[in-house]
Amino acid sequence: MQYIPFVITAAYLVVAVVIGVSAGRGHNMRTVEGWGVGSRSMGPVVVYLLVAAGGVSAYTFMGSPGWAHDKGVPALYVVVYLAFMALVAWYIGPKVWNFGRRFGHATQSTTITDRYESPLLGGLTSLVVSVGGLAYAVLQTIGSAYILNVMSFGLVPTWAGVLITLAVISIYLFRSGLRAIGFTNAFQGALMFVVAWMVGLWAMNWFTGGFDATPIFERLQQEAPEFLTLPGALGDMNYAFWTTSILISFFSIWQSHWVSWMGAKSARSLKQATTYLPLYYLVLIPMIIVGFIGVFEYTDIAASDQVAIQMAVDNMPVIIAGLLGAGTLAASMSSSEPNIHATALTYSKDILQPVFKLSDERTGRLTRWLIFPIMGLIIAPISIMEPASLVYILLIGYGFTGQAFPIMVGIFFWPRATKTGALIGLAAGSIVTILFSFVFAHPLGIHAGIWGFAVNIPCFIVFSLLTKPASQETLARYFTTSRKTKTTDAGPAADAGPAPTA
Amino acid sequence: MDMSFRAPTTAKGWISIGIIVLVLLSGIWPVIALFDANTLAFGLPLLMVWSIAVLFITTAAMVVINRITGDMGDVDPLDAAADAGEEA
Repeated sequence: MQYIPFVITAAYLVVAVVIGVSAGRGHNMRTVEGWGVGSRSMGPVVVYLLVAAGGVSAYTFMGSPGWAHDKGVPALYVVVYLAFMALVAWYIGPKVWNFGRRFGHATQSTTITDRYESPLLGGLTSLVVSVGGLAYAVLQTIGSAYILNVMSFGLVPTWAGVLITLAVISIYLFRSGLRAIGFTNAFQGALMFVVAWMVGLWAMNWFTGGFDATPIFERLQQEAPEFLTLPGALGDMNYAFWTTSILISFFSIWQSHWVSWMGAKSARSLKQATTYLPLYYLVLIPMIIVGFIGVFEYTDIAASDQVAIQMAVDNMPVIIAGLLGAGTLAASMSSSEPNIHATALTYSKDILQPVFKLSDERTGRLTRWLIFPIMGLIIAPISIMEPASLVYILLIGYGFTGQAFPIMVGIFFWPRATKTGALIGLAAGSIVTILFSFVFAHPLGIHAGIWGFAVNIPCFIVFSLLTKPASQETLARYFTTSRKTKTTDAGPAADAGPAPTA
Repeated sequence: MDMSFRAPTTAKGWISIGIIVLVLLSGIWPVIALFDANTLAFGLPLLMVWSIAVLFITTAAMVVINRITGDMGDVDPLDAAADAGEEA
């Protein structure tokens, strides 16, 4: 009986493999176009769940209840920043898709290389943003292994959980590429949403005897009001940090997100999907309420990230506990696999192909094989070691990703931006971000990434103005539209480039 | 080639930008301070209710801008540029 939750969790893995493997049928996975961007074939529903589930990680089921348990309402900043990240996907995504279709781009770094006429800048960006992507994938893999360990009552040790998770991902990722991610994320996304609300409502009913959260928060008002307002119970989320943490997340455009956008079958289906993306993030609310219940029920829990899982294992019916295990595993995998996929894609397209002058055909064949060294030599050993510095690596990754934002501005809005300005801005901003993350942590309560911008953006502008822009031919491809065309009234997509023709 | 920063050139474009800025402001200081109180609404902390509202406000903003501009992403500005070049 006690292993029923584990059986449900393991059954999820089998279903994911079946869905992922069958997703690639009828598509040539030996090309970058096929494996890398799913032949740009996914409709709005799959794209919706692909992007939504990609944004929801183990944080939803472990981190957000943990934050609510430790800090209270500061956990809500993630709800806001996910909404704003959806806004970026909606605004930038269709433009990215159009560039991809027209120029054959699959990755962010390929677009950067092309727009700035600099394989160096593209390759560096690829390398630098992959640090964050890989650290993220490692953290999610550790989360997956933890779930398998808890649900099996220790039967599956952490190292085995890491290997099982990566083996499962590798089967369908190798076979079906982005389409596997799309279709498994569709399944995972639906599962997560249902499970989160089921668990949240069950916990509320268990704690209050009904489906009204008022008794939980009235009790908090009486006994621990600091949980209900900023800066929270630990006093570490003031207005400045709330605001700047949201803004730096808003400005961070991840490689995996970019690649996911490319998988849409049209810019229209991407626009349709991303328009309603924020509503998916209601998934966080019930899990945050579970964390608040944990304030009373698991006062002294050693690892607050485990509060929801512990509550499930201790109290919930085995079916719900099993579904929570499956949902948490789904959350971990749905956000790790896009990063593994995007890293393989960008390493092959943006680093190996230019360095070794590989043909498109050979690059296409090589790309999907790269997931094995990435998983076997980087993700698996680091996940098994669980280094204490991993969170720092992730923070550096976030910092770097955010600092690439001015480069994006140069792609979509500012033709005068140059590779020199972009390189110097990126380097200066990244150094400041690292310094203000670890040496002088977040001065004045402002996120280090915003301090990075304070240096990055002036450098980007000044050095761009002092150096030679990209060729007219390249800039014309990115920026030339006519004021006379109907698209000048077409809002944001057209507003990117309503300049006179060259 | 005009090398200036590409800002909106139509009223609809500027309205869209204005809506996006308002949405962004809704989730950060100083607006967030208005909802940072030890008060319950619908049985939930006020900040939680507002965070949920931000999800709906953001969605509504995108729906409204899609309608205002008629842009559903299916007009490739680069294709439009090519067409304009042919017309010229």
